[in-house]
Amino acid sequence: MTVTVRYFAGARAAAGVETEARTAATLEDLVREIADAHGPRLEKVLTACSFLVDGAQAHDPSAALAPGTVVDVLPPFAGG
Amino acid sequence: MSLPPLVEPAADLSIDEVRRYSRHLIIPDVGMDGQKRLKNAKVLAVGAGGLGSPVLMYLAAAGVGTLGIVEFDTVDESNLQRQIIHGASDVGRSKAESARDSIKEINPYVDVRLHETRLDSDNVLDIFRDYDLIVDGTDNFATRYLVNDACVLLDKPYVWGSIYRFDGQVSVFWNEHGPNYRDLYPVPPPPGMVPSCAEGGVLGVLCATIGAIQATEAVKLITGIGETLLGRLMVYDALEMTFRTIKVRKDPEGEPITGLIDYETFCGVVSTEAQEAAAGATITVDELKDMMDAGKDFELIDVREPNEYEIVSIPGAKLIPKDELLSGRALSQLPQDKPIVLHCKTGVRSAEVLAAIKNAGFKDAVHVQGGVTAWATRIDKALPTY
Repeated sequence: MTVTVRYFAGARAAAGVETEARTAATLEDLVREIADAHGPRLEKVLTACSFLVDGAQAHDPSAALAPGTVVDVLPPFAGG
Repeated sequence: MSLPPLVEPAADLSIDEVRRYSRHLIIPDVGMDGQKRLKNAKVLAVGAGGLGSPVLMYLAAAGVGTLGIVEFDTVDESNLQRQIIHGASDVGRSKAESARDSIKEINPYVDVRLHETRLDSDNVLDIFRDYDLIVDGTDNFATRYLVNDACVLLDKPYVWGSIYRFDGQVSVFWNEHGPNYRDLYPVPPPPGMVPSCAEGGVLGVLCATIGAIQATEAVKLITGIGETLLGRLMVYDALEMTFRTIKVRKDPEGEPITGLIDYETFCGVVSTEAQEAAAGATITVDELKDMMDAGKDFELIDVREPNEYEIVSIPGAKLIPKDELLSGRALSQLPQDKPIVLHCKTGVRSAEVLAAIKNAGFKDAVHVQGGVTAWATRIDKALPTY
C-alpha cells in the first residue's frame, strides 16, 4: 500500500526529507523499510519515536495499513 | 478545538486595571468579559525555567489573577541564556522567589503562590487541585508523565510544550475533551536515548517561541476564544522556520489512567554515572544478535533477578543479579579474558552495573540498550515480555 510518511524534528534531520511516499503493508514493514532506506542514524532515532497512524497510536504493528494512510514519525524530547 | 470559557468572570475591574488592560479590552473577542475571566483565573506553571519564563511573564502581563509556580531549583549562570525571568543579580537565589519578584515588577496585581518543592506522586494532586489550568515547562519525562496523569485524574487542561536544540513541540491536552499526553507518547523513550537540554543544548530564543504559544493557549482556554491546540500538535523547526500542525486523536485502546505510579521507574531514570558509563558502550539487540551469529567470544551477563530470568531470558545469558555485582561479591564470577555484555529488562540496571564494573577495572564491557524487552520485541518475537 502507498502511504505517506511525515518526519518531524530529529527524525526529519536523520531522514533528510520532510515527507515521502512509501509502499508497505504494515507499520512494522514500513519502519523496517525506512530504517533500511535512510540508514543507521534514522534507525537509532526510530527506536525512541512515536508513530501516529492517521493521528492515533497503532497498537498492532502488524495490522494492515490502508492506502493513503499518513504515518507521522515523532521523536520525543522533554526539555523545558 | 473550540471550548467554552474555563473560568467565570471576576466581579469587576478597578479603574487602574481598566487602564492597564486597555489594549485587551478594546479587542471585541476579549473585552471586559474576557479580562475579568483572566483576573479570576488561577494558572500553575510547573517549572520557572526556559518555558516557564515567558509563560509566567506574559500571563502576568495579561492579567491572570493568580499564578502558581512549582520550582525547587536555584538560578544558575547557565540559565540566563534563555530563562529571562531571572537576571544576573538572581544567580544563586531560589528560582521561585526570583520569578515572583519579576512578576511583581511586571504586574503587582498578580497573586503569586510559590510551591518550592519537587513535584511527586505524593504532593501533585494537592498542589494542582486549586488551579484551573496547568502549564508544563519541566525538563524531564518522569515529571511530564506525572503532570499528565495528575491532570487526567483531576480533569484539568494541560498546556504542554517541549524544546530541544532548534525543535519545539506544543499542544493542549485535556482528557475530558480530547487526547492526553499518553495518546501522543504512550511510553517514555528508552532511558538514555533522548538527551536533555543540559546534555544536548537548546537555542535560547526557542523558549520564547514555544512559551509564547503556551501562554496564548492558556489565555484562549481561560477566555473561551478561538480554536485551541487540543487534538493538534504543533511542531516548530527554527532552522527551517516552519510550523507544522498534525492531528492527534484519542487512543481508543489506550490504558485508562486510574492512579499515579512510580514515574522514575516508569521512565527508567538513570544516574549520571551510569549515563557516562553507557556513552559509547551501548549496543543494540541487533548488534548483540550479530555478535552471536558471528560466533564472537564474549560473556553475556543478565543482571536481573532470578524470577525475571525464569520468565524470559536471552539464550546463553548467565544470571548474576545486579546487587551481587554492585556489592562486589560477584565480581570474581566475571571473566577477565573476554568482553562482557550486560543486559537487564530495559537497559537501566545494566547501565548502573556497567558503571560499577568499569570502576572495578573491567574496561572491555558494554550493555544492551532496551534489554531483554528489546530482544523479545525485535529479535525473537516468540518470547514473552513482562
